[in-house]
Amino acid sequence: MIGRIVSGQRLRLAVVAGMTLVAAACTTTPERVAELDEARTTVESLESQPKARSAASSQLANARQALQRAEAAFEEGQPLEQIRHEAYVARRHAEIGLEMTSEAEAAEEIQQGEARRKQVQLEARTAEAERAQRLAEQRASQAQQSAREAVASQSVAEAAISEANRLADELNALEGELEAEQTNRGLVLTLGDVLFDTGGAELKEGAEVSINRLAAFLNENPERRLLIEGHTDSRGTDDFNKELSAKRADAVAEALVERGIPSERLRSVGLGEDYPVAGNDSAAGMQQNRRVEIVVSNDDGTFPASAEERAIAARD
Amino acid sequence: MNQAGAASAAKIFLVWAPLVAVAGCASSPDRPFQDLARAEASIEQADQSGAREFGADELDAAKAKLAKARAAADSDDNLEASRYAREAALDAELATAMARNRKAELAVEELNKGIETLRQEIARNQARSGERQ
Repeated sequence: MIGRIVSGQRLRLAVVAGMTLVAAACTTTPERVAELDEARTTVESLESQPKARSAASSQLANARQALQRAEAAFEEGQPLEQIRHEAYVARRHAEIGLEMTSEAEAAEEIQQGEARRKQVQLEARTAEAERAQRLAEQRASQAQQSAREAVASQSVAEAAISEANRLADELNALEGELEAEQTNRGLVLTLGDVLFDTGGAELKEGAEVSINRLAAFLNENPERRLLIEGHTDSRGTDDFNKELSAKRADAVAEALVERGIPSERLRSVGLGEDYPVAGNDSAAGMQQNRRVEIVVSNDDGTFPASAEERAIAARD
Repeated sequence: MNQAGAASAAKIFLVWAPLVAVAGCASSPDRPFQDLARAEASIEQADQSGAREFGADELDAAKAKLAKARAAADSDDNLEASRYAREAALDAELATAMARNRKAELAVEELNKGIETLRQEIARNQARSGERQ
């Protein structure tokens, strides 16, 4: 019994010694490998980034796998060059992942910046519009006042009425400028992609104001119709972009129908990436290209020929 | 077993064990064509994505390692060649990622500057049209 235990211990000793010899033949593995420590730290720092999983998932997976290989090589006493190599691979993957995560954060900041820029413009326009409205109302009431005072004189009354009409026209023109941009396709209003989730076609709450304004405009101008065009940037396949842009355009049309606009007055088309307004080689350019453009019809409900051409092209 | 038998068995073990151990370390794989090709492609991509400006050190390291990988492969040290080539590819990919990140950060700065200019301009315009009224 005792003899068996002793021989068992001896055997174990021999096995350990043998393994040590084999390892020593390759190279002696030190207690610590600095590169392995660095790799662990860098991989941990990538793992601690909340965005890493979405922005750099494959780098994260590659870094973890390489780190496991490095740890295993270290445990098994494999050659130092092998441990260092795997540790290096793990660290580089983690570093690439960190860069990609930071780039994704910058891209998000750009998106928020676009929204902020639009907000600043909107505030400025609203202030300007209110001032213009006050001024026009003031002048209109002055004109009405003069008209009443000049009841005895027909010619003066007529002049006052024509002045009031002129002011009304001015107001309308002002409103047109505020809402839209005049292009060769007629009046065009652009909604940026901040109104949609990335890759999604549901309108965000922030779109409420723009949609309400649009509905109010359509109610005030019952003879006008809208051509709603969805556009994307050049990322993704043509088919995907066509479909996404069509869904986004549909979402805008549906929101207007919900506000009581008859669907016959609305046409929506998905134009995909075919009509960029900026280069697709920068994040800012792509941001500008992801948009919904709304073309306002002529007052007889028809669209300018160049707008029709696009809508027909979209059906092919 | 007699004593002479045991001694000759020990001799055989002593002769073979180191050989087996050495064979365990240096297997000789083929020339790592794929690793070399990936390193070349990654370096070219880094060159094109502006890494020379924003990730110069990493790009230089990648090129130096690719040269070492080729030299190692030429002298049939294919395991070492594969390691150098893989590290070269990762160095180059890091250079690319750094360049892309830096460009995105510059775009953010640009955008913020633009917003600030716009805000100032609007404030000036409003002050001016306020005076008119």
